[in-house]
Amino acid sequence: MHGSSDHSGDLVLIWDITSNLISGLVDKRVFVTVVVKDQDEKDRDGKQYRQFWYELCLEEKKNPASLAGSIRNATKKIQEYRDDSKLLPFPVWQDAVNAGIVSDRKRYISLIREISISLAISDLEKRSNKDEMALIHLVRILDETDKSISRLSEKVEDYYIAQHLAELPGDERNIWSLIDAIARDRDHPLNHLAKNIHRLHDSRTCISSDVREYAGKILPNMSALCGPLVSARLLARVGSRSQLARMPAASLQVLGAGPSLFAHLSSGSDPPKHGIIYQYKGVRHAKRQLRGRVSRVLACQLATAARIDYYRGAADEEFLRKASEKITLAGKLA
Amino acid sequence: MIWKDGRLLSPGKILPGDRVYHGMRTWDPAHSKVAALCHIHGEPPVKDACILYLGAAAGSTVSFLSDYAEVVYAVEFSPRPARDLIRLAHQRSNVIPIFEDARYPERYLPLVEMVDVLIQDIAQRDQADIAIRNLTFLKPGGHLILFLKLLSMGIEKKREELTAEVLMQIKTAGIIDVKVINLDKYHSGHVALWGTQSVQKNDA
Repeated sequence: MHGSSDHSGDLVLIWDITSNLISGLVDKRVFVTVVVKDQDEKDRDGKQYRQFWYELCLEEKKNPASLAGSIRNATKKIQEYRDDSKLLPFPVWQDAVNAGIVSDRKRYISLIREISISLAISDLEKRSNKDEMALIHLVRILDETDKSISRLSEKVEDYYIAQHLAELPGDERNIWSLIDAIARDRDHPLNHLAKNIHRLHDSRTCISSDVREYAGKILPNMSALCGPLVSARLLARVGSRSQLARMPAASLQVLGAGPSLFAHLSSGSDPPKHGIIYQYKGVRHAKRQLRGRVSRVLACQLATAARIDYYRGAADEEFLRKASEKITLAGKLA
Repeated sequence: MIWKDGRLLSPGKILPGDRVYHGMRTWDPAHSKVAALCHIHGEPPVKDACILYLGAAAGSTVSFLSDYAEVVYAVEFSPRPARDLIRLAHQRSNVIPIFEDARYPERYLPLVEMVDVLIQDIAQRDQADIAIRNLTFLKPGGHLILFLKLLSMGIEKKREELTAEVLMQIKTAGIIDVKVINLDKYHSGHVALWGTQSVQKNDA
């Protein structure tokens, strides 16, 4: 056995320790045999400690499984070895040929390609958290839908005003009742569009309820503090829960207030008090002179909530009670 | 490489949406920095070569390289373009997609062979560092092509300063005969550095 000399070194060390610590209490010979057995097993593992990626495919080649199945199994094994840094670097294709794994260079490339594709797909899937991505994209779609609705409605209103210049300002209708009226009027040139705006609004309602549901599931603590929609927008802005959890409260507070933050940094104007969290009614409806305080306190609690959401993944009643107390307190004049 | 009427052409499989000239795909210098390099300075030795391409994105440049090269290892770390890259690899037998961060070559060290050409096309602040870390893959005498997006390295320093800095960096890392090629004609704010891995350094 090639590693035997290393063993004896280990044994002497263990021997010394044991004889110093527990001399007389344990039969040394028994102890030594136990240690040797242990080392033996480790060595058997150690033999296949570091391997080239294609050597892992060799074992699969012996399996009578289908080609696709064996690629999948080999990929899994390679992934495991790679994550434990147990793969040898700098593969040489001639080696793989000599070992009888592939017959020539062409087959080598075709094998590494299959393995790489399968590795990439599996890593891609691992990296994406489907629910989290769904929430992020849903909230982006929601905001885009809102934007589209309001832009289209505005253009419809422009058209209406251009056609009814004589109407007195007092007669100007609310934009929604205007769209309603056009949607009912079959002969109106914008009838079809108005109906579509209605439909778009219905879609918006569906998406928004989906967002609420996902946010309540993925960000339970944040949703409880500042509402599911605001939480989801914060998440969408940052990109992932892991990054959100690592974010300082001060950054959370001004997330979405980029232009005024940079104006502050470059020209020394007042710093922004709030970004996306302004949409939370507790901030929006707070007295003007208190908004800064409320958003600061809210952001601090949100930063903690984001961490609980990411690392624990469940609502913490005790934390939520204390946090909401603090936020309400911040909204009251001292 | 194949040229016709001042156009660079590519002999590979034509897919829907490709621009075709005389029955071959045209490799547009405005869309690919490698093509721009061919137009402005000269062709890199990609014919039948083994190439490592960092920052493959959706793989349009990689698809052209794969027409000429023997094999292209394409590294991309952003999930969305990586999907397209995987699709490309399904269609081309010599494209090997690697979904890893090029900053950590040890992750794909066990999969990639030694290569003849290393192309770095990642526009990040540490773009020169990324190239240097990946030099372990480059055979002695192999070519390094480093595309620098100068804006990615901050706006405080002048272009000449930045280029000189990176030049020093890669020379210390063992790259010799470095040529600096201005790609402004097709890609504004981009510079290509093209050198070869010194033979002595690897012998030592």
